[in-house]
Amino acid sequence: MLHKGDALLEVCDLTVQFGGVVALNEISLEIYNQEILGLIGPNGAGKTTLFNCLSRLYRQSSGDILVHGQSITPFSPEDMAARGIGRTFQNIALFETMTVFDNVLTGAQFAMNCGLAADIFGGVKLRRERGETRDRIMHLLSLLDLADIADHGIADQNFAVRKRIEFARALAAKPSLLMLDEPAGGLNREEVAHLEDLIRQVRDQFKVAVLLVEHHLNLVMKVSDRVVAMDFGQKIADGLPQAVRAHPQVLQAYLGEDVA
Amino acid sequence: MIMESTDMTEGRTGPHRNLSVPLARLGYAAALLVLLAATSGLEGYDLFLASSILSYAISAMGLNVLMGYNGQISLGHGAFFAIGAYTAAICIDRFAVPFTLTPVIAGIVGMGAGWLIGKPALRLEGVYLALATFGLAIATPTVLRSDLFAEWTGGVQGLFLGIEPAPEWMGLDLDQSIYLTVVAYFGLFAFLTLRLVQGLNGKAWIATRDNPIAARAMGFDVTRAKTRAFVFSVLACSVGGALQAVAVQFVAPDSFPFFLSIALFTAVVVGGLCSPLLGPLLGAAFIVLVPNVTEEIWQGGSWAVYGGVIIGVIAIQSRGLAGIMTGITSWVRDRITGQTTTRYERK
Repeated sequence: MLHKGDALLEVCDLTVQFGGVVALNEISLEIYNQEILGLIGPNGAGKTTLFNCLSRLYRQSSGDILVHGQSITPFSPEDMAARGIGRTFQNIALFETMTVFDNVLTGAQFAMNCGLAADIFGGVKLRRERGETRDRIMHLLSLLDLADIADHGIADQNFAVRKRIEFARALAAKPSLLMLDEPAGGLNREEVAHLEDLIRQVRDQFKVAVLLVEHHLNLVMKVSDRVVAMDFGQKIADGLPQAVRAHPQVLQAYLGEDVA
Repeated sequence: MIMESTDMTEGRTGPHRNLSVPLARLGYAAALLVLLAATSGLEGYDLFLASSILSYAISAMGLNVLMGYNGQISLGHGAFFAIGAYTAAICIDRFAVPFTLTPVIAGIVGMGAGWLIGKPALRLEGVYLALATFGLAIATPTVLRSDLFAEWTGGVQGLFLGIEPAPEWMGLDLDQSIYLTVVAYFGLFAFLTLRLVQGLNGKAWIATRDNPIAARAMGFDVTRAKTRAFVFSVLACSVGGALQAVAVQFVAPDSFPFFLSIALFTAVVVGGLCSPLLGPLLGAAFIVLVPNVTEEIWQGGSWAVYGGVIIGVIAIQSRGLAGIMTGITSWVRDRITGQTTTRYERK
């Protein structure tokens, strides 16, 4: 193994079935602190199923997922932010009628006092708490080069900026694991290069582990510390990028080469 | 759709830092003073109309939270208006509760009913919720008319509300006492609505409306947000109903036809979705004044005007009367200052 110590996230023999179709078949993998793990595989390999299972949008038929050693099976999607798991969406799911700042703020709200009385009556303690969150988010926005458009709407922003806003929103929750669902989709070559820097910057500055689910093999191989390859709902390779890239089953899955 | 500006962001950046909040507060205080001044400026029927508008505006503020901020459509809030009105009437008729307190009891009863109805109803989305709530609106007059509850509701005859004016030393006549009570509740609901909409509950409502899956991923409890919006809208509608009953001093089943629910819906949309105060106020003025005023000018033609104005307002400005008004004021301001105001609008 590449890493010593306890895993941040452990997936143990996870199986997901839709009707009779087995989308994930006894998958096991671990993610360690501050590690960038690339997850690759052809279409239908089960990457998105695994992703949605980790976000609790899907439920597994057997197996378990542990975060810091604790099972997340009983939890719902809205509980995951509090467990330190943040995510972005493949097709960008920002709140279209909010400002950039407010979108990022929604990432932090789960840890704040959201009661009716808190909103209505306020108070010194609450104002300080909200002021601190506001400052933290402004700091986050400036780290991600978004401070200038904090008060702007989402509608005017281009695709690459929207991706950064989604990153910021996920990071506002102070996650220990950031899950990225095909972040390079729809980006041009230059933007993919920026994304590569952004992922490393985020890992280094925010001390998060990153699970990168991606079609863009070049990006995954360049940025990942370790790569897991999947095909037909099963793990076919797990290791250093160059090792996985040369793995016969991976070559077969991607290129259809018969490496017998 | 409008970009909601909020307390968390207001006055945070730019040269006008910390200026917009006090300015807004000054505006609210001025508006409240105008409403108070109307007590002596208006009399008789005009004061009654003003009370009516404000009580409908309270209901519209609540419904705007549900429909505007949380994006759920209800065509049945007239039923909660009726529950509030009858609660007030029964409180006064049976238990001699002072009329100033009846909205509080009506609000509690209404919230109970809203919670019971909201729990199952909120599993429905969009047109299904609209239709289910519309069923509620259609059934309401029949239930009120029924002999089953006639002992309490007065059946077809309805109930008169015997209302005592304020103590003599205050120097207020009956219309003025009622009007000032309505203004007090209006102020309270304006405050509640603004605080909630600008706070984290407002974020939860908008997030749930804009993208429920992302909202859940950000840790929002979507069901709780919807329930809170629904219960708040029901609270406002039953308090508005109670005040309207007090202003009319009479309730009967015919005062709460299903069209009342459509009128409340109209007030919210024509007034302007997501305009927390101005929209409901203008919308309420529209549904109260247009039928009354046009009937004087063109007998029998008021519904043609009512319908025509609705189509006109929505065609010009999907943000309703409030959108038209802010459009005009920012146009004037731009002319004066020579600047362009940034307007966040969704394409």
